[in-house]
Amino acid sequence: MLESIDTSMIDWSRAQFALTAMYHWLFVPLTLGLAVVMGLMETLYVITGDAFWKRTAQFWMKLFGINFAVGVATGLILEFQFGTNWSNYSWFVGDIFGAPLAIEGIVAFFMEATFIAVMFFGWNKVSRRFHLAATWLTGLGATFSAWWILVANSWMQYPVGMAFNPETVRNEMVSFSAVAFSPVAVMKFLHTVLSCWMVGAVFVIGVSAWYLLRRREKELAVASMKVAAAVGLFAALATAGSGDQSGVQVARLQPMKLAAMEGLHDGGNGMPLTVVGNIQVPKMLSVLATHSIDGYVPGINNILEGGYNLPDGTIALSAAEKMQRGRQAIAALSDFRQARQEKDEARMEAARRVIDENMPYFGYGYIKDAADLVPNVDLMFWSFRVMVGLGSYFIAFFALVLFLAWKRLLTQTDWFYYVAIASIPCAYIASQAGWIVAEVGRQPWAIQDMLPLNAAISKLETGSVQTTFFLFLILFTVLLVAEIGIMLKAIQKGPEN
Amino acid sequence: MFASKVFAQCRIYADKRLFFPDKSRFFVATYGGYMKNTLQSIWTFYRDGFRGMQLGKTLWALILIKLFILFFVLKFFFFPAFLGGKTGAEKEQYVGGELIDRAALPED
Repeated sequence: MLESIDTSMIDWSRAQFALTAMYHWLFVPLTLGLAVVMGLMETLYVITGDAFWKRTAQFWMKLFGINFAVGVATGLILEFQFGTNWSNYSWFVGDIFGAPLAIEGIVAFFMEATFIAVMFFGWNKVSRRFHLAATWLTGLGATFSAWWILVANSWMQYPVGMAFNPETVRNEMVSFSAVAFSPVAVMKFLHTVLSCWMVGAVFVIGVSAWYLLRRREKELAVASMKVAAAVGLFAALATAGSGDQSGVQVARLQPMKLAAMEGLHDGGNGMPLTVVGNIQVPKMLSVLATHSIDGYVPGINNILEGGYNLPDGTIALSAAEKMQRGRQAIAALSDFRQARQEKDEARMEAARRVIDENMPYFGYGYIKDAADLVPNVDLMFWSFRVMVGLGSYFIAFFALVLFLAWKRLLTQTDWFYYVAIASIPCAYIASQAGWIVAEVGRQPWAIQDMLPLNAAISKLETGSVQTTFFLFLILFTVLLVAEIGIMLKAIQKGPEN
Repeated sequence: MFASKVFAQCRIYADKRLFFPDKSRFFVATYGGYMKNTLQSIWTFYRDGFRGMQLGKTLWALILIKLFILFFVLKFFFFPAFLGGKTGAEKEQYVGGELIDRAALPED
């Protein structure tokens, strides 16, 4: 009965999606981060009436425009892939997944696109206040876009607000608010958007540092550094806070992800946090995961074996038990569909009951080996440490900028300029590492517990996936090189006089 | 500038009032005139904005080339909808069959 899917085709499809998502994510954080910085600078212009702030805001707006133009529509390729590479997924969850994506395209992007025109074309044509509103609304549109995409992604991590219909073989939305405002969506939105503000802030500080190194645009550079550092410090601290909350959610809803992040094979109460190697902080993992010093944190083996107490008081099922129940659900689906063909209502009803009872474990019915439930531990472990390590570094980095500004040393600290410039790629690395943790940690699931990748994927030829993988690699690399080239040229040229 | 705009609107109102004693046609004509001016202003705004672009022209060329490649090359040749051309019932049948057939049995 098992229809084998070429695992190399799954891996190439995953790689293709990862490639396109990571390239897309090179542009988005800077859009969201620069939107806040330029909005604040233009606000200072409107409040003070000082043309200096207008010129400064216009400069960062130009860089925002370059990034926005190159990045726009790169996310569409991800949607193409849903329809081609992940057709079972698209049908199975399209009723829920499609809604936030549609809202994103129709409402958020439309809002962004409308006000961006006023932002760029409206200087000296509309009033200062109207222009300021347009600038903030452009940023808000971009943030609104991010909200809906993150709602969709959060639903993949924590599917809620739906009911499975065995007649249509689709999950159907029963509560829009449960999907749109799920606690995972809220926390993911805060964590992701705030981290983007950090990227924008680091970028502004790094570029400003380059100007100071070249002894150019001193006033603009120092002012920009101060604004960016204030935004960055707030964002870095808030990102840490939202990250802590996300950790508690992950511990409860995706315990395997947390175990993989920590490289924790055997859990227990009062677990220490491994920093790197043998450096551990006693009890800290339990504190982070459960907000309790002696909280229980299951390891990979505990999750596979089951038998431990869950936070809701129930006993965790073993992987084998979940796989059994998943197979029961799939068998009941087959039975239901046969009964429907034969118009046997009683049998349909009986099958539906079995499906409903076992639906939470539906996806486990596609898992052959419990070991397949474990994501790549090494990649998770190190990505998490890169993200948190760099995030902690940035807190110190922004605090240092503010300290230097307070001491009026910003124009006299050449060594810091090199640090600031080198921090730009670090911000991107941290941002990408976060997504690796989120998405690799979700494996093997396309939808947590409901649909693994081997069931979600279309039956394609591996060769066609490989071809499009390399096409994307070439296309996105060209775009990236173009953006970097145009951006560097604009930075070298500097602000308009 | 604002005063001259108000004056211009008053003139349109006065002109229309003389020629359209019927209230409903007057409303349509006045409102229609206002809408026409607004649309013209928006058109002029965008036209002048695009004409005044410098770096923007390069960026727009990049955007248009990218969109062309995305929709007319990639989507057209490499990313057809896998379930495209099927009716809802056919998709249901196909995906249902796939999801059932791919189940892992204990002996596998």
